[in-house]
Amino acid sequence: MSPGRCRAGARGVGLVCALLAWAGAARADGQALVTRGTAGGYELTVLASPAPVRAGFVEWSVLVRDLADGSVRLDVPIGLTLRRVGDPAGSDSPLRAQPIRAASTNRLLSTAAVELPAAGRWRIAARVLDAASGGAFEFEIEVAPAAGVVSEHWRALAVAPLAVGCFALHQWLVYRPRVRRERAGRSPVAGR
Amino acid sequence: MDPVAAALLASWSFEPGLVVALLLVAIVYLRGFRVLRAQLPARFPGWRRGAFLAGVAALLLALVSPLDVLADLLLQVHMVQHWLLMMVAPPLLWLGAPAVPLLRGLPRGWLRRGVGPFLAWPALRRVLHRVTSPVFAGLAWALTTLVWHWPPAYQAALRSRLWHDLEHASFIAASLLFWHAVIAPWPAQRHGGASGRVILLGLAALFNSVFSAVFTFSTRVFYPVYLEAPRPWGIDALTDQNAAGALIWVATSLPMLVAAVWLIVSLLESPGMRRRAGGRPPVARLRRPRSRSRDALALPVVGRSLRSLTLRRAMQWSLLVLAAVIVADGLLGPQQPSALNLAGVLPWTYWRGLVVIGLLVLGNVFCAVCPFTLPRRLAARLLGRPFVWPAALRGKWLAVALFALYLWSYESFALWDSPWWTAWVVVGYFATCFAVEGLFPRGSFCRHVCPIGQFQFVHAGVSPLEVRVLDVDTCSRCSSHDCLRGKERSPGCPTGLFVPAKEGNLDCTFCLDCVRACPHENIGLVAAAPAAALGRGRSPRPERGSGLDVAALVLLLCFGAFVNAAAMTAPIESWQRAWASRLGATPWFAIVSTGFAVVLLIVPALAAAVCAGLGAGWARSTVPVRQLAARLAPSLVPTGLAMWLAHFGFHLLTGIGTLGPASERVAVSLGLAASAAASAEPSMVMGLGGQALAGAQIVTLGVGLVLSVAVAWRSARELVPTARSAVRLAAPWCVLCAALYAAGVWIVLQPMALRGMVMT
Repeated sequence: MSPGRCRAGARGVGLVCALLAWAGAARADGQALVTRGTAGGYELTVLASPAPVRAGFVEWSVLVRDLADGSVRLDVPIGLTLRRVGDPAGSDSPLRAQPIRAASTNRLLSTAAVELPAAGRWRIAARVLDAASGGAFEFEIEVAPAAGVVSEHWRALAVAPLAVGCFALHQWLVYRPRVRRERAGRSPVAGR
Repeated sequence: MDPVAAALLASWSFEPGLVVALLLVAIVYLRGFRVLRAQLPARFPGWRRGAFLAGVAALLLALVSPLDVLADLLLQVHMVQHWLLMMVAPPLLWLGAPAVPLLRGLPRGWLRRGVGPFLAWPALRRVLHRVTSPVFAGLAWALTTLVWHWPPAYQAALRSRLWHDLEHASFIAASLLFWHAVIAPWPAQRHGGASGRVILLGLAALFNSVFSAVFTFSTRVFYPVYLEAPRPWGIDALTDQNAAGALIWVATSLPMLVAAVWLIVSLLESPGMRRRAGGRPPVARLRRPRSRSRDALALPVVGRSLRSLTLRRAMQWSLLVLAAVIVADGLLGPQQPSALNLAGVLPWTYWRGLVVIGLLVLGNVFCAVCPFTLPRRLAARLLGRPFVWPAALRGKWLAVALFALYLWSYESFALWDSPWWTAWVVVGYFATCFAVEGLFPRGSFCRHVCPIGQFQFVHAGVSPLEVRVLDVDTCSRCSSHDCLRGKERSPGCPTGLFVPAKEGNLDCTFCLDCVRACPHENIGLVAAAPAAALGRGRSPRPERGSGLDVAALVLLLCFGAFVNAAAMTAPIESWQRAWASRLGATPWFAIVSTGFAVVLLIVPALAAAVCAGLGAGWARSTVPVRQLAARLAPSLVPTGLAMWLAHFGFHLLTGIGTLGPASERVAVSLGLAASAAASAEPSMVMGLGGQALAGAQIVTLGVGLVLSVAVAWRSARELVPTARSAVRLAAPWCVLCAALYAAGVWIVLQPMALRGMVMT
């Protein structure tokens, strides 16, 4: 294979690597379905991210459908109430949030971020705040302990070692021919 | 429009990183394509450019459009997304023959010194040759398709962002390989003739038919997640799956069919035509045309603005007025909460962050529009500059002491939370500047005293712009040296830099006096690689001597960055309180002073001595240890600057909204606004933040570490003859930088005491 051909092939790698990196940066919706239930004439589908739900910031999303005709309803306000199961009464006030569509990437859903302070079993109530057909359904969910620092920030933490590794490789490629020449210059064969 | 449809169409998952990256690729491609099209019009017709841009658009459509969010609800939509990633974007990208345009579009230095060594690496060439073979590419494409549509893998990708990203990345990679084998974009080597590629396409089409048929004719749902998911349009999961199979069957066959027809036509093409279109051009024709000057001052509007003395004076006056406002509000306004006082907000939240960002984006912008310039000029007129700056105070030692004093006073007097002290610091700064510039020669304050200036000078070594001569030969013929001495109505360099001998931005205020003084118009604001001049051996001024003063300044600034940031973390604050209670009656400032003496003076000096000594011993260098320390200490500059940026950037982003309430309060107190508007207490004056900010801080620190390692290595290579010795010489400094990086990561992950913020 001629050097020119090889180089041309190697050039393609830049594109492939770059596209891979950017595809990696592309964000999936990332929300997993938690449960579904009915409240006040609506079907509420609750999704959460991260999946599985961990202590710390959790994005809760709700999709509202009309039970009568199955259509998606965008105008029904929803409220979430989250309380730890098994806590001594009154020790923790429940967390409240009102998901909104503006906070969601998928504009069919309404989203709110809530910080869950602790792992364990949580009881969550999704309430329809529509005065005419208000209602609620409750469910329980097991919240895993918060992610460790490394698993939380592994992408950012990987930047430095990867970049230093690339730099080391680059310099090795730059200096390898020179080192070889230096060695060859000192060898007895080259000296003859 | 139906509100549900409108909501769907508005569901774009805008990802700034992805969009900016794809735009950058398109720009680099277009830049390279323009040059190549001028040289090889037959090889690069316009349709190639269109194909490449369409490929980029297809990627964007797949990854950020409503398709991405709908893919979670409907398998059909998910299949369309995968089709775009595998069957539309890759062939379009390769039809653009992107390899050479992308390389040609890069800056020349990046291509030659950055990418070049990788391209010439034999092992990489061998790997690429193997993976682009039709057999490997076809197998990779088929296996990737199968593995990711295996129900456990598919469901994992729907539930986890990481797996979803991996799925997309592997789809794109495998499809790029597959279509590379089919299209063999110029100038890649073809593995076999067109007939082999037709066979590859035929096998792929057969595989696709079987794969799609399984979905089309299935009687049970493969992915239970779609059974659980809401069905917005009443399409049940099995119907959705069957439709997805049919869709992918037809949609995937189409590009394969087009490619097969194109290959068969090319098989029938006459050899003469092929030679005319495919002949490799002579190397001379591919040479890059001479690039235009990289001088920012030559740019049409920007250059004129940068040169404009009027604009510069206007900005200096504006900053002077702001300084006056800070002093007035700091002395006369309410002291608590400090975030409602302009002296608590403007310097500590905004100014610091913006100055560091300015350093990274342009250069020493603060010195360029320094508000102290105007009092300096006034002082020179009134006092006449009768004295010579004392020889003992030349160099950076006085500035080192003053910067250490600033860091100490910042903690001891809680400057961030004390508008009154902040105002007095500003007043003191102006008074000192007035006295020094009135009594001593021009530039003495900037060069030897100003701590802000030293911060800027040192860190401008990482800036992308540098004041530099454009043509060295012109300077060699020049005997007037007006850039240094000045001429009538155009003063020379205020800090005594001789531009032809200048390397890097140390002591350069970006005032552009040299540009205006040069009779040959031979000085420009030129783009420079970040940190390229850090640790260079050439010294622009003999008075710098051994360079230990600059090394000491670098060490102080670097360690100061970490100490300053660490002091705002909750663990360090509680540790300080614990020490204070343990020591009982010992005054607080004595504890702070002792701590600062240790961590800002003793620890850095010891660290530098140990690194230089260890490196010298291990590398068996004959260079004196002091000189080694002076040459290698600048490698810490990028790490230090990264910590300053992470720290000040945090304050800027989390407190970006603080200016509103503070200005409102001032407006009310001056009677310029109704009190009702400002009476409402800010519930939470906060801006951006969260996990993304911590990630950005860690990445910033990582970039600083890499640059530091690069500077240490380059300096070491200049000091010792062999690569092995250079590794040994640089290793202790790299370890020190890595330790500082680890400390920085720890700091940014700690709960922060949001000092000076308004929170209720």
